[in-house]
Amino acid sequence: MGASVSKALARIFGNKEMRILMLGLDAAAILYKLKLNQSVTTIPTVGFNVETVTYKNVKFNVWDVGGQDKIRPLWRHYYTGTQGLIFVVDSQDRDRIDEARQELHRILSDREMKDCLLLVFANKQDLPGAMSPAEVTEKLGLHRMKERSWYVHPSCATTGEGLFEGLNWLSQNAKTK
Amino acid sequence: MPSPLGAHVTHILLAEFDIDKGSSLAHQYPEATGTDEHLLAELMLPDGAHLRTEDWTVFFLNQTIPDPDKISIDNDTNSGRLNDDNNETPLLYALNLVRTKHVKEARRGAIVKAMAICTRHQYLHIYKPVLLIALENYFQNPSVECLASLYEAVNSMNVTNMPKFSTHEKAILRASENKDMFEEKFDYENCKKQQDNENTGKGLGIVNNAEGGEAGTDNATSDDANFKRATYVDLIPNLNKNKDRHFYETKVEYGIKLPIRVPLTVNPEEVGDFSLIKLITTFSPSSPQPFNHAFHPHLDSSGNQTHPIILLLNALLTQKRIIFLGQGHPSGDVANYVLSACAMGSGSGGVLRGFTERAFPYTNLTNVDDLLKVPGFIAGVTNRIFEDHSLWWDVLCNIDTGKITVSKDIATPSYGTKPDERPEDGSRSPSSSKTESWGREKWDTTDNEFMAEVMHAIQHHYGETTIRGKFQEYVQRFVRLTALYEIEAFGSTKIGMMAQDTDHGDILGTGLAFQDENSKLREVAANVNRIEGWRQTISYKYYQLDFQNYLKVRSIKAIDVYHQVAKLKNLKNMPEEEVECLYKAFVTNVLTNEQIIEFLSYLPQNQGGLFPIGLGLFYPLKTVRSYTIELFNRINNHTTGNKFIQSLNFFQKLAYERQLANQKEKEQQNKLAMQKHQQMHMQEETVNDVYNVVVDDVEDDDANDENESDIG
Repeated sequence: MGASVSKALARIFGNKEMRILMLGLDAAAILYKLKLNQSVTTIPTVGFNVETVTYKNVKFNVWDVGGQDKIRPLWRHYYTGTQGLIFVVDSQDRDRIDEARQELHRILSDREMKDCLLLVFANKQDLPGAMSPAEVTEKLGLHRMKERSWYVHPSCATTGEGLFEGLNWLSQNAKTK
Repeated sequence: MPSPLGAHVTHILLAEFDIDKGSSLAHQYPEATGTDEHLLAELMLPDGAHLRTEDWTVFFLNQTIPDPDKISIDNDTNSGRLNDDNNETPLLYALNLVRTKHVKEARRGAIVKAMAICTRHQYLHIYKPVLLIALENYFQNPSVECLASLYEAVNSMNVTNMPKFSTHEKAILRASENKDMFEEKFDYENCKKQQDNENTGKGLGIVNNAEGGEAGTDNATSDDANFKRATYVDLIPNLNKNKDRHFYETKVEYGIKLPIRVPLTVNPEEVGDFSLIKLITTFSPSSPQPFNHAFHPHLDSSGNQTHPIILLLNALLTQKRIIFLGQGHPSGDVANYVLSACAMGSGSGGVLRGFTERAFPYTNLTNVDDLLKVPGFIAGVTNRIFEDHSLWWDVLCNIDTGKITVSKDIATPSYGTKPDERPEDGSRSPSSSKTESWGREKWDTTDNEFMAEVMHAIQHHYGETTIRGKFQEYVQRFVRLTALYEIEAFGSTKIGMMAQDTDHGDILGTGLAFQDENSKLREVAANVNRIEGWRQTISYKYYQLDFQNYLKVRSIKAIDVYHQVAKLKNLKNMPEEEVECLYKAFVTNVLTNEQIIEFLSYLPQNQGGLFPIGLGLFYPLKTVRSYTIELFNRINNHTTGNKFIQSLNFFQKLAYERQLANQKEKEQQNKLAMQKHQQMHMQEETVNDVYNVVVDDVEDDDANDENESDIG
């Protein structure tokens, strides 16, 4: 009984929980900016980081998984149950945006990721010569994704600009269970 | 000692975390281990290593997936355990230290490096101090020479005089708190010490003498030793007094002298310096909650009231896939739980085997594909993603919450019934008796009592050895129960003594001892599900081999000593003839050094030592009393046995001494009587006086005996 009441309350007040997988360079910096709301110089992550961030009554369980070539095959183990993918792109690094596109499409083609929301942070907007969100959208080939809800948002991990707007989009588009 | 390269340590490894490339292996010395470099690097740099300054972890190399079909008596000529020594790729234990140093100058502010020592020794924790220094050296001066000098240092550790104990001797030593048990085995060390003193202390002349004649070295050294003993007679005993002979003391010279204590009583499946007590307390809730998973015949031996530790033990015995999860913990934490679990499942490492070869004290996603190929793995992880993949495991133990979860996807065997669904229970009204009878009639295992006893011992600060002893006993009993089940159900067994394996089997019996037929059948019935579960496992197959081998090598072949001791401990009202036959069998079959040691190993000192045998001192039958005296005399004359007699309880010890004295006096009296005949008429009156006094004494004592035996 108690459980069903609290479930009903949760539906009214929108106490949601979302599992988020975050991939890409500087993901750790973003994670701790979100978590602690302060800029931490993050030392390199061995393995992964996982933190819970609560924003507007939504509990985000954010997994930041290392991105080195050798461990990319391990990403698939994190897919089951993931409701949102945060893909962090270094907007300044034009040389590797193509590689990022390939990687992104590979992840999203996994069966487990079929219903997953996609949030792209076009990061490092503070640096000169950074690609605009529109340019990132185009370079990642997002327009071709008809079935998926996706969103590209400019961000800056060091100042925290744009990060909560991104989470806001995720919470609004998450399907209530 | 013929010391092939790497007698102690086979490999030294070094791994670093590279910001761009990730975990990578920098060096392997003196040669590659043969394990995939990327995997090694991932294991050496465990998840979350960047979050803490240091993390000790353990992983194993050269684990082969055992094929249960290939484990058979025909394929195994040796005792199995010894095979490893000849094996080209023996199972290696790796002790790893990873450190994160915050360095301003470094890119992104930190450097992460790890060094691992791979060894065949189960007591790999002895290398902790030296590894700590070596990794520090490597941070100062990152070069392969650093590994080379460590390799050199650890492999030149001197263990020439380390005593080698047989299984039975080890069992005796483990169960004894007596620090100088087997002191005599260290005698050689004393000589050696003296020699060292001599070499450093005195001139070169004697040294040359000792080493000069190569042919007669043995003689020379022993003479030498004798000579020196005389010289240092007042110093040496002080040096060795109060040394705990459960350890062998030596040293590793690595810049400084690092003292090393090698534990001498480790059982085959005990690896590292884990704490079984910690495992038990972590998973023993203060207010027990009934399990709510679907009933599993192998696991839920007391229904949903099964104690979590018993559930874990059942999972280990029946070869379930077990994961210890410590999200955000150092990998060393989960590793210790895994090592403890291996010890628990194998009966503190001394009863069953095949657990460590399936153990992954620390592992992560990199290795998951290989892990899943291993039947009944026992793995430690720090990534909670494992929890979500319930298809990967059967039982998950969360070290943070202390909660044990049974996977919803666990395979359930087709056989096995839940006791309260058994037809014979139909007569009772189920609703009224259900809660009441749980853990009582229907679940007739004594597990809850056992766990209460264990928890009581832990709360009263009994040590690790005592607790391990209890689990060894528990698993040994389970194995004997299985043997009994096999005899009852199939007529024979390969894992337990049958009457035909002994001389007096028909009178004296074998295996477990039960008060009556009913309690025997009840206990078998209560355990049949997990017994069937265990009978399908690798450890069961190994045990068949080991037991058949034991039957061949045991030194007491005529009786099942365990069974006799168990009877003396537990049974009331044994027939007189049986008791007499039993003590006679002891006297006639416990003769040699080997036999005495084997005999004593069934009478562990932490379970009262000779006490059950000593009951014979008070037995109404005179023959039994004199058999006991004869046996005790023999044990008393044995170096180790003497220590058992010394630690007899006061009451028994007095009884033994008094009866012994009586016996001697009687002998004396007989002698005197003989003398009296020979020396007819000579000093007749004086002798008679003495005789009368002696006889009076003896009669008094006999009367006392009878009173005491009534009490006993």
